[in-house]
Amino acid sequence: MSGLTRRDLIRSAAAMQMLGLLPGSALRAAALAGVPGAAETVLVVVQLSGGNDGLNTVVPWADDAYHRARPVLSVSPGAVLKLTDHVGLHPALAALQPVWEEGDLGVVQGVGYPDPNRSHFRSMEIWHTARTDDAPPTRGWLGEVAGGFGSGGALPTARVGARDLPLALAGAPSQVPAIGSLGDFVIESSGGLSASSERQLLSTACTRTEGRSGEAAFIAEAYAAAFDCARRLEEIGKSGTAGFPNGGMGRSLDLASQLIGARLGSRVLYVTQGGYDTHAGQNRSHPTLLRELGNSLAAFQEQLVRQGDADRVVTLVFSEFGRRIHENASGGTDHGAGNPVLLLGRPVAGGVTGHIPALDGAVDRDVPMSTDFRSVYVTLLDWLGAPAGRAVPGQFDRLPLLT
Amino acid sequence: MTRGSFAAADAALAAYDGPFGEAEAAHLLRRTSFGGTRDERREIVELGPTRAAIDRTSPPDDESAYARVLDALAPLASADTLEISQSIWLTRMLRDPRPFRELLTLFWHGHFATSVTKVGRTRLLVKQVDMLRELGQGPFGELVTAISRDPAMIVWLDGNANRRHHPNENYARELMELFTLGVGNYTEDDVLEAARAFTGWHEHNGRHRFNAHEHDEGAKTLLGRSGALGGEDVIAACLEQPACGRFVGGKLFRFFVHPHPDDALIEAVGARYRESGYDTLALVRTLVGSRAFYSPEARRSIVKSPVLLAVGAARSLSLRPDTTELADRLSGLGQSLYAPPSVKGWDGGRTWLNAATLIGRANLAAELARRAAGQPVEELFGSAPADHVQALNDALLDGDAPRPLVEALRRDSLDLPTCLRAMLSVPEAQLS
Repeated sequence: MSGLTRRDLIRSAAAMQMLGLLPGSALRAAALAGVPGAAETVLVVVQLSGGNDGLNTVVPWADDAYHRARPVLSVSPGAVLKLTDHVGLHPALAALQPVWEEGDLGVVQGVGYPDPNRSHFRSMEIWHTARTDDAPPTRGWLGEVAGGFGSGGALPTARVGARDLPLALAGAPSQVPAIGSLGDFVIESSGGLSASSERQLLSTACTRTEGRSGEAAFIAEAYAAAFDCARRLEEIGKSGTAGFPNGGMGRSLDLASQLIGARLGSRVLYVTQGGYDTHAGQNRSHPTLLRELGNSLAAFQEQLVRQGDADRVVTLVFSEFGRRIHENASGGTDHGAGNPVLLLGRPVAGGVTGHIPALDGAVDRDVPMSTDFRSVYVTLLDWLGAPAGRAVPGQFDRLPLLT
Repeated sequence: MTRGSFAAADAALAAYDGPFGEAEAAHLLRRTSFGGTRDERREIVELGPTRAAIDRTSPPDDESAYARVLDALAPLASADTLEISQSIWLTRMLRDPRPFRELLTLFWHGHFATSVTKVGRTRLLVKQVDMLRELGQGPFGELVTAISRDPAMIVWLDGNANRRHHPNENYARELMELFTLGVGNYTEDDVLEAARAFTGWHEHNGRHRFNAHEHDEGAKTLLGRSGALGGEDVIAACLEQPACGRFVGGKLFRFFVHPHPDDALIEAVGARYRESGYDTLALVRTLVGSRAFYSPEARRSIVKSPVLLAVGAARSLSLRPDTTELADRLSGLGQSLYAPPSVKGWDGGRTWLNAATLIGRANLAAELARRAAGQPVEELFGSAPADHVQALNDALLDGDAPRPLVEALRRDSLDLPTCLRAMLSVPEAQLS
């Protein structure tokens, strides 16, 4: 394929779609006719739960101390997908190479917070609340701003791919919807009527505001928005997506792409992938997790291009902490501190920023923090047009992470 | 607040002596018993409002049938899995002949919100909730003392990290902010000193253990008290504050009566609660027998939590849902028992509702409707459309179903499950 990159192909597919030459696009265009919000920015947060081993994700391949510290787990320089003269991606993330080559992958090294806490629960709480003090953890950084996305869409903020609400989304004026799958928006039948007749009946029963006041009127309006949401997702579901890997991560990001495509006013979508607590036998599980992650993120980027949303979506990938520099005696790694975060999307300024020191004697056991995660947050919140000062207490520098 | 507003508050808390028909009985049943059947409504009408309030908040005369249900559940209780534990608690709510004790337990579970997500051991959560059930109706002080020693709570709020030379203020802060006083009624110094008083209140192997070695015996000063204070003294100091009556009494008012009491009403409720020695059952009986309780602003003023919605519907219609499946649906609707979203509990009100949970509520209604086949509801409500439309309207909506819905159901002679689902989905059915 001389000269023609995968990205070129995707771009031409997007152009074809714009001209109505791809199956499904006409359907989608019809579904979206006159829908506002098609130009609004969207943040997709991907949480890697358990403490992802950042040193085996963004590998410091040129640092001998890394290889010495990890006789079993280190990735050989020849296998690393080199990003710079110092670091490169784990080979299981090969699917992200085209994203990198397009300048749509940003890596921030050494992200964390002062006085790292090694408890999963507490460290995740710090990332979710954007606070290190011991104020009661009742509101999350994204929940705090969820009420301000007032474009009238039904799903301004959503948990996607599972139904548990992370603390990051707590404290919103209305509980953030948790959407396990498109099936959650399918209106079930009670058995007596055809599906469409029953929906008609429910609409009659639930959505009228005449004759209702107070809470009942509020609920009737919310019902109208919910049924509208269900209808749009059904339409968008018919047009389908392609190329997502099987597994939770692929399904979650597939669903996220559909929600964005359905123009439901979505501004923040929250996805998680578990299993990163690799204390033992890390080589059996970690590359598999990374492969699922990389393949899913790459498919997501491709789908965003295909559906014409790539210019407005940024994906943030983070974990509650990194892991120790030295592997342990069980072929695993224990809880650490500083860690890379990844940013993906066309609005992202591609490249490696942030900094980790050489992992020699000067560094004890952990990758130190050099960039406060809250600097990443406020940069993204500014880009969303959300009040960063409300979501993230304190003063943090903005970073040149976006173009 | 003026003298007039205090007089109005006292009048609002006076015993209700107005009309008392099936609609009032249904209101009382929703608020004290999740909901009730037609027979229960009629029974209550006979009693009148004051005796009915006492009756629905008292144990039943004959508990033998329910005791057999509990016996049958007992072997499952050792399973220590979240799903089974949730299912057992739902079964209690569905089958207890006087489910007020479960409703109040649910209230306290939201108040002293502790989640298995951090605690890890489901059985510790179950034991905590058993304790809330046992002590929830009595003096609030005993409940606070028990929760301060509760193993799940100690794990949840880092009690084991609270040591003589390294006080951890997590529990002390929540005790004041969320459990007894509310923001603005204590200082940061009070929190620090209270944390010292609770040093050594540890958990070991699933039990409370007072670790004297890690207890700071030095002098402390908080909330106007000084001395070598221990945790019990902190609790007593908190309960002495008028703010405690207002904070906890006000929360009971908003749960049982309506969400918008004014300051004078909160003041009056708080004073009664504190002066009674924090007798929770006495306060709740006053509240659910009061004029405020039957006022227009109290009717259908509270957005039902998912548990209230499902258990209320099942009890009103004598349905026996699959509690395992039900627990799963309720989690999807935002209320996972033993796993509240944060130490603040469930925010409640409109926060329950969004596009996904409304579809989920309508689908919960469909699930209950599908299960109605072959259940007593068929006999009770009749199979002729004219009969069951009216009967369901009375059972679920006090006869106030939206006109267009009633007309549509009658015109098309729709079957019982379809009518049931529609009636249970409407906005009015989401309100208590």
